[in-house]
Amino acid sequence: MIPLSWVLALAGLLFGIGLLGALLSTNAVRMLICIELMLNAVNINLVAFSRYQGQAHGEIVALFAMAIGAAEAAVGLAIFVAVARNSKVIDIDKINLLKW
Amino acid sequence: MEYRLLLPELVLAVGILAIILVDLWTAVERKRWTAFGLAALTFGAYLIAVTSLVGVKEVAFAGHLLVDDWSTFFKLFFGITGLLMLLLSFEYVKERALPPAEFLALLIGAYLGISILLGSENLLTLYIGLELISLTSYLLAAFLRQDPLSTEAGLKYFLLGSIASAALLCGISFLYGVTGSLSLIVLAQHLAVAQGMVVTGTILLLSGLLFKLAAVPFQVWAPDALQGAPTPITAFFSVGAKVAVLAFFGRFLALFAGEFAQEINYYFLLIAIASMTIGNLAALRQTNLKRLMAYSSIAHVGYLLVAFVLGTPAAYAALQVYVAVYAAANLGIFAIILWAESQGRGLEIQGFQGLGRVQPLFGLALGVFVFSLVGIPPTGGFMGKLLLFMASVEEAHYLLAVIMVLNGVLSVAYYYRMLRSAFFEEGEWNLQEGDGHALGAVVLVAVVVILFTGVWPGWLQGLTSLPM
Repeated sequence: MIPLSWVLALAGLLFGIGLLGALLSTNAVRMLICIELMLNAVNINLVAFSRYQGQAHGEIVALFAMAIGAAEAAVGLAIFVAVARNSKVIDIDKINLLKW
Repeated sequence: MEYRLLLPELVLAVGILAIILVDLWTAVERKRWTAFGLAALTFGAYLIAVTSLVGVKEVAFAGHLLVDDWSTFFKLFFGITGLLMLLLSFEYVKERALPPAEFLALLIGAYLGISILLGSENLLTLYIGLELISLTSYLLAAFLRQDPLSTEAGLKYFLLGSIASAALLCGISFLYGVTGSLSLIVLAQHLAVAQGMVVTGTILLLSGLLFKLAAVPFQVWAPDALQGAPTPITAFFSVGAKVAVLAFFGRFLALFAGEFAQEINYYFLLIAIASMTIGNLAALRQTNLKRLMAYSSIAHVGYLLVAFVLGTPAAYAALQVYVAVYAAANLGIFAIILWAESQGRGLEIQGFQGLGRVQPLFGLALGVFVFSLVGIPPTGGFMGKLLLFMASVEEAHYLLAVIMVLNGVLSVAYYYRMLRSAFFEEGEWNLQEGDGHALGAVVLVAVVVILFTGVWPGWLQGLTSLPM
């Protein structure tokens, strides 16, 4: 069996890539993809823990997380469409009406 | 009969479906009345269902749902704010020609999430409740689809909020990995030892929760989201998810023990002080009312977090008083802001100019709310601050008490500008014959709650006992 630490390293790496991408990119759609990457990294985490503990709780959470992640993507894309209709761009550097 | 314990949540879920379905068969001109009527029925039934659970202390559904006095108190609180939210948005929905059924379905969806979060005894239920609040909040923030400010608020809230949710879920996965269980009670046995994965998981989980609270350093989204969102929704954001997360903290932070608890406490102290100071300082330079109230709510979250730093029964009791009067004052101020907005006065502080002359009752009520937020007797805000202050002196946190008082003084500066604008400056008002009755009712309820609590805060404390 593959050691748990390897799987966790993979999940950590994916989470890191997602987080960096979400923080550094300026395109909202790209940010959404990075956030989905973070969620999937967590799912790997959950399933791995679940497998190594020999019980199903973690896998159930992963299923819920996937469903909620899909809902989140739907909500996000709906908001992006509304923004794009108003300002014709979806680049968060150019969407800056609100500031102090 | 476990379903009896789930009754409040079931009522809200049925309400959402009923509002959407009935809307399909309703003529356009009756849509608003039907939807609001059904929503009022839903919240009424919710309150009755919650009242039937007063005094019950049970865990149901394999440890996923917990009903105790602490959660019942907050469910009652949210049932009442839900009704006030309906009054706040009744005219607004008409003025902006918003689809009432969708608006209310999302709003009640957020309340369903809050209710689930309050009863969660399990990390999975916590996550589901929190996400239900978040997803509906993103949509509500962007609900004025034609308004660039509103969609921008929704976009920013969504992007930052999703990152926070992912971090929170990651924290849950680590805590699950260590304990092999999602139950908070099992978790508590592992939280005394600060070992690698427990610390990482706890930090990630708490960051996600603190983000929803808009506590410093996770506050950046709040001013933007609250300024851009439709005004009734701004009022909801300033009390809704924040108070729910605070209530959950009351349960969650009690789990920590030993050295790790002291460490967590220390960080909460820093976050509390930073939140009140930065919130108040940033509010000083705001001219937009909604943005000002956003920063003020960040500062108030700082005061409320003090209760968890202390962690004593007196502090929790103070928290309940503080939350009730804070919510009353906030909803009241937003009712007045909404009224000024509906009279075409805009959302800048200048919009209040001459309010004390053209509408003396609203002016007077504004005075009560501002006094309560600053903490001047005989308002409830004074009682809330006094109880917190006494609780921190009892625990020998003298420096904390001094910082709280100094922050109170600091906050006078920006709250006073509202009053100066309303009473000492002249403004042009063309009063339109509109029915501000709904908003007036909110203001009345808020004033009564604040003054009554100021005289006798015990009525709130008598309702409930402490978590755990």
